Amino acid sequence: MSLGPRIHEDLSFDKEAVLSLFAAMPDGIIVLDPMGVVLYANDSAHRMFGGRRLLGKNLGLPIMVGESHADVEVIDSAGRTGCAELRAATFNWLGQAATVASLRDITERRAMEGQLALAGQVFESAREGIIVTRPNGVIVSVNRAFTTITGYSAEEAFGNTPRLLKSGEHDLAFFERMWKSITEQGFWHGEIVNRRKDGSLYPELLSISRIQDADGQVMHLVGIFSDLTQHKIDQEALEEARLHLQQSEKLVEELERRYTVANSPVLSVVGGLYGSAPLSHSAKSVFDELVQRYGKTLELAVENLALKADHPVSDQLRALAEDLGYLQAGARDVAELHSETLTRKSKNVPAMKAKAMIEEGRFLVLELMGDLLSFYRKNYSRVPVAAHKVREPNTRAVQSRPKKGST
Amino acid sequence: MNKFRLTLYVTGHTSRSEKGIRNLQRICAEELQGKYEMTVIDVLEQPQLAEDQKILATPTLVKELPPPLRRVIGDLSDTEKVLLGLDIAVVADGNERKGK
Repeated sequence: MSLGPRIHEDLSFDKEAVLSLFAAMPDGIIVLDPMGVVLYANDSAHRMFGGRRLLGKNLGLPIMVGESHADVEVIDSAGRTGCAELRAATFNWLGQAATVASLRDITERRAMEGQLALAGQVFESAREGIIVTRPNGVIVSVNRAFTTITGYSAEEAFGNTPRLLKSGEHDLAFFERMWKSITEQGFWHGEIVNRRKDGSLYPELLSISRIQDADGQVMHLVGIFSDLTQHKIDQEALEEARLHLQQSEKLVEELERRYTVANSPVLSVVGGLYGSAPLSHSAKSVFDELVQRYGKTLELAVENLALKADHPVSDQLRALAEDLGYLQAGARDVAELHSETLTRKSKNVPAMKAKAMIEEGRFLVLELMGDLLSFYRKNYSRVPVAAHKVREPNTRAVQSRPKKGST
Repeated sequence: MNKFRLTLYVTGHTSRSEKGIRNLQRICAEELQGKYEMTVIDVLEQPQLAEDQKILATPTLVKELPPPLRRVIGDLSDTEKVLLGLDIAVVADGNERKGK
């Protein structure tokens, strides 16, 4: 060691002075024999091993590659581990070959390095663009996402200010408000339009905050921003999709409504009670035929009244009621049949005849209702509610049946 | 024929301890030609074993057999230095160490 010759030259360095020098060294100093057994260890070394007695213990022979050091974990008396930087050199110790090992405690440094490395990874891997500036606005650091978003490399950004990205979309008052917030509250958060290197504009969500040292002095400003371009596109797409969905739902509703009307199940006994469509809709041609038959019956009834004729009106009404019954028509259908017939028959007829038809029609419709009720009583008394489950009006049965009393 | 018994003490599963293990495996495979037993001990998982063996730092590589007992610590990447430190100058095959 280089100290050797000087110790002998300078008489002020006596043995005790050297020992106290080693003892006071902040690094752990350990002298090892060729087997790795500890011949000497200073106070710092003992401290690093948690007060463990080291003398005579086998630490192991330090292996170094080249002139460099090796990082090792030292184990203290309580089994805790700490990091140390190990350096070693061979020398002559009291006439025998030995190794001096120095151990520098790097536990805190390692932890700090770990934190720094993590912070660095966070900085670089963040999807948000990050700009760090001095208080005067000069950029000192940017991350990869900054380059991805703005198109400017780190080198292009360094030394510039964020005005590099200025779009011209915001007025002076906007920036005044921003700086007022940063100065007074320590941060600003908002949406801003910036310009990329290629000249294109993009919206970003930006947070600016101050970084202060222990004395409260502003050291840096950090801007963290995310590109809202895709977000806006997504939002528009979402809005469009929502509108499409709304339209589709309306269309589906409309289709369902039409389908219900077109494929209405057989009318219920009372008509409409089970939500079925009127006969006039579900079986239009049959309904038309019924209107004509009822119309003829009505005319015959008026003739009976006016001319004292003897047409078999009641028979015809019963036949009509039976057909309505087979169609499972309801009171609503009878009412519709009646009003439709009157509307048609009262057209282009003398007022007197129209009045007579309306008057006679009142009795007719009541009789028809009664007949229909009788029909249901006779035929459906056992299954009063099953009727609405039948899927189709039995129009064929009506059409194929001989028209009793229609002549 | 001597059989080598080696034990490597490491601390946790860090990249450095993995490196130590890989080095030991390489050394054993290349230089000891399969005539060895290798044990890896994580001092965090088996602190008592480390305490019993008075292990002061990791990575420590111990040659328990054949005697003499030898320990090395530090950078175990240099095979020649490791073998020298463990006093394994000769391998069984022809009483000569194979060239690297």
